[in-house]
Amino acid sequence: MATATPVLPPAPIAATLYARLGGEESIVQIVDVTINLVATNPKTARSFDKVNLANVKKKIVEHLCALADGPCKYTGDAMHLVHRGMDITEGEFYGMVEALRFALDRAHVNEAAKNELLRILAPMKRDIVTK
Amino acid sequence: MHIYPTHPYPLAKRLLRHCILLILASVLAATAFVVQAAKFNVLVSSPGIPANGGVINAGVYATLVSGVAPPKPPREILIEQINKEFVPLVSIVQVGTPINFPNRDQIRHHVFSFSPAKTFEIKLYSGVQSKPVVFDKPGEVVLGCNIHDTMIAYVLVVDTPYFAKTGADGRALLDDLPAGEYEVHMWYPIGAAVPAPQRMKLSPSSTIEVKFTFTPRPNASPRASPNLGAPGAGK
Repeated sequence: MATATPVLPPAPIAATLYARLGGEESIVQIVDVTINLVATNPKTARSFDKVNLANVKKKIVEHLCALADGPCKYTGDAMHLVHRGMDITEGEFYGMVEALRFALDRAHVNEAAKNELLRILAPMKRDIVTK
Repeated sequence: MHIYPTHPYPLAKRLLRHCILLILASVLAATAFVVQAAKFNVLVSSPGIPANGGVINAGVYATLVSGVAPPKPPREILIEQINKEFVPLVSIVQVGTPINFPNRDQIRHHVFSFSPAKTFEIKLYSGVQSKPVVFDKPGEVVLGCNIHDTMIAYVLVVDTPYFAKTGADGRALLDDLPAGEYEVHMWYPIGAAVPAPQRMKLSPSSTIEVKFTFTPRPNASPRASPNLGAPGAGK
């Protein structure tokens, strides 16, 4: 005769932002779309001239993954070093934000996750915009 | 109070002695130069190249058939980064040469090489002094930039002090060689199949013409610069 052992429901684990962005596959897609957009948009393309885009994408994927509590380590340089000497304008910075929003929408990332990511990235503006 | 020791010779005599010594020294030096200095005047040409047929950016170097030429003291050279390009595109250096990579651009560069003759990477931030890299093994080194994938440069490291690269006319001069028997080699990036070295005897104060016929293959590799081989590519 078996006594039924009460099975407790697992304690809800708050999904990481990484998971809510759709994990690695989705982040790779988001970064791919974002960078392809800014590298071809005349408003922002200047800074990507002759740039190894595959490498940039790889580093941004690492960076976003790490910032979103995913299982990655960012191996790139600090934002102020990466953008040093590029004279990035506010207009160009927001051009990138716009491209990222588009890519997040295309990847069906929900509004809450999208805003959370953008909130994390927003303070980078002071290291990126130098003009 | 100072006491000056009196010189055994009067001033005029001393000056005269100096002059004679100087003249003697220069005569000796000139004699040595005239007796020793010989040249290889090398031409690398291709029937496929319009105008003068000269192949630019070919490396040429001479090695002694027996014995080793005393190396020249290594002198630092520069490979600059200007407008997202390496300048010069092609360098030929002696083993042990330090190469510095000044970044003349505002943005950062990240020079790297996977070549066995010298594997390294160096991050170059604008306005930050870079440290030279010593190229200590003979062979070909291909340089790239991790950030800008169109940037490429080639370095040939040779174990002889007698080397040069061809100019737009396909000519290169190997000067100030002591008389002897040499092998004159030609090189072209990237590991191109080039004509065999030529064995030549160099008698004192002679100039010998050495000719190589070689046609660069356009875009021999995906990492080859589209400019390679074109006049002006070695700026």
